[in-house]
Amino acid sequence: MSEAIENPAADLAYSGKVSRALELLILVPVVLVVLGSFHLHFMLTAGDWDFWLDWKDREWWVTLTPVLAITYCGAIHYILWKHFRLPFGATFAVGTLLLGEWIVRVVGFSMWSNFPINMVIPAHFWGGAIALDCILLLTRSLLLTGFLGASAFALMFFPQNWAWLAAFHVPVEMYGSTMTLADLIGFEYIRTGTPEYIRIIERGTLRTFGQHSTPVSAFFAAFLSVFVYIGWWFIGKFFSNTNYYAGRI
Amino acid sequence: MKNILKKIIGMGMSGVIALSTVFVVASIPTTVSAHGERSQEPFLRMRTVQWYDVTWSKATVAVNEQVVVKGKFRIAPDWPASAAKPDVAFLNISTPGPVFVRKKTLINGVSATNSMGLKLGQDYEWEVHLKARHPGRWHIHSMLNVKDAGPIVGPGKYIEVTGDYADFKNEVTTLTGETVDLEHYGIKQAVMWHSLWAVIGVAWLLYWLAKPIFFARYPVAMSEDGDSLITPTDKKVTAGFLVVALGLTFYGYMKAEADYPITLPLQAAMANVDPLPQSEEQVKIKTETATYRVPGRAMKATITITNNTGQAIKLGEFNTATVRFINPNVGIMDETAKGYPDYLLAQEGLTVENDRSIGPGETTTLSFIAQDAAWETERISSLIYDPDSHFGGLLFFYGADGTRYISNIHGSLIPKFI
Repeated sequence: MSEAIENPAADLAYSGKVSRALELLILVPVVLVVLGSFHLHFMLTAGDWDFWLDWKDREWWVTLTPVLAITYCGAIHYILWKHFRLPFGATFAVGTLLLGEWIVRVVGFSMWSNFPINMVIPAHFWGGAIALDCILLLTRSLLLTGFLGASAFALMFFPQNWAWLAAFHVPVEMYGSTMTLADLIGFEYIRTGTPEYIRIIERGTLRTFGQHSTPVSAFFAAFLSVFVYIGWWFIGKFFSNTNYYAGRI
Repeated sequence: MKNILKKIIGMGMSGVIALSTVFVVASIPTTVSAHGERSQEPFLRMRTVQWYDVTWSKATVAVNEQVVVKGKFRIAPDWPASAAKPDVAFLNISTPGPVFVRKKTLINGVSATNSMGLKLGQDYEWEVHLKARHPGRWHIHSMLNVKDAGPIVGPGKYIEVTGDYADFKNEVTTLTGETVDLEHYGIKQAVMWHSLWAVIGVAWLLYWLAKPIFFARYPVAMSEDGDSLITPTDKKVTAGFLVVALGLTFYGYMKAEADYPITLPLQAAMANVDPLPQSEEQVKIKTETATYRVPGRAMKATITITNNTGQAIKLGEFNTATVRFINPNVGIMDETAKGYPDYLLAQEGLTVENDRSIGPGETTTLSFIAQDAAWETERISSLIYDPDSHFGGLLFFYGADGTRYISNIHGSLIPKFI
């Protein structure tokens, strides 16, 4: 310490080390808070659509999941970009979410409750989140990130997950009915609280688009994501100020 | 400073170890004893789905062996107004998680992989084929999920599963000719794609986390010159990550389309099943009075019976909320009754006053008492606290030739507290 006082360069280097150590220390609770709260939010909203293999349908799953996942991305984008010009908020958010999800799926669903892990694989958002981050940095604009980035986040959701999900949509004939392997896994591995009728969700006129309801759902999700992203940007703004401490410090 | 950091890290590690210990202790599995069916309100168990003739083909099975749970249920004609009607229902099975896999379910011979509408007052015959997966002692219930009314649980019985989970196989052949084991299918591929994307995502994070992230950037970011924090290298790296993200998404999708050219959307539908053929109820019942004496755990009912069967009959059983009150004078402790769970079987629980045969064509008044501790242990007695104090159930009459006649009974129930 005495060396640092006598040598300004050493003092600066030491200060740098201290601030770096503090930054890394701050990251630990930040990761835990985002992981816990985003995970809770996502489980309460996306819920069964993300829990179960046989719920990952071509309409509601494609529509709802990215819209509900982009929320924290928007809020953390504001906090990190506005105050630190850091563009990794979306990737950070979905990374912590997926870490929490995998822990719960492996420990809770598979090891504790005996569900095969292929039945409870979560959807991932890595590609869309990286694109959202990159567009924020390259455009440095809330509006452009909202329109282009949020749309990319939603539009990339289905194709990046189809890479692993397609295998479960291979058809199989069982008990005189046509099913996908995902349907069959959902039927055979018993869930007492998830009766079959709550999976009857394809209704309405999306079928007028023939067999292409997935792209329609994805574009609708992109449309919704624009507003949700911008809305949550302001939620991030609301929570990232020191007004709460005014008069207490 | 270093000492403070060490202390903080040390405290953190201690906390992690303590939490891990608590978690490990809490996660040691214990025997699952039941599914909370006793907490289901009595009016739901007595007046919705009336389960009868339920059997379990085996009490012990090895991993990979099958056990068949089957029986019948009548959809009560006196279905309570406060519960949604079974216009959409799904025959389920209640197990402590997927310790069995359900290989087949049938209702009246029709596959019941889908949901279906059920008619009030009608009987349905069902069976569920279960393949043992995890060793242990498991409580297996029949169950019917009714949309907007919830699960209605039938009788449950313990099944012992022996063997080793590692031996479990669950193979099926797809319509594209591939034989797969559902237990492990697709896991490697999913983990590979998740991991690949995670590596790219973490690389993106590390690129930024390698720089000073908070203290040095904040004053600049909050100034008018905030964008000066973004370097030309940052822009190039960012553009590179954007290209990788878009490219890998496109590649993953196209590869899946090439590897699995034939795929279907998820399947879900309603099935149509006719109830069992049913002749007109041959023993007509009208409930005159019914009381439940709380201290004695006994329900007494007085009913008017009209016997249209063509032979003399005797009342042999009162079945409600999966509890069977048996009249020992009729001698119906058949194989079905012997295999029934003890805690749901009141072997001498039904007493008929002036117990005599009711002649063909005769109309008479009869009183019976259904008395057993099961009223309390199965928490059916809490019916007296329901907002709709009505009971329901099935009465089983037997002719001299052994023919069984089933009639519904329902009506208002008056509690007697003294």
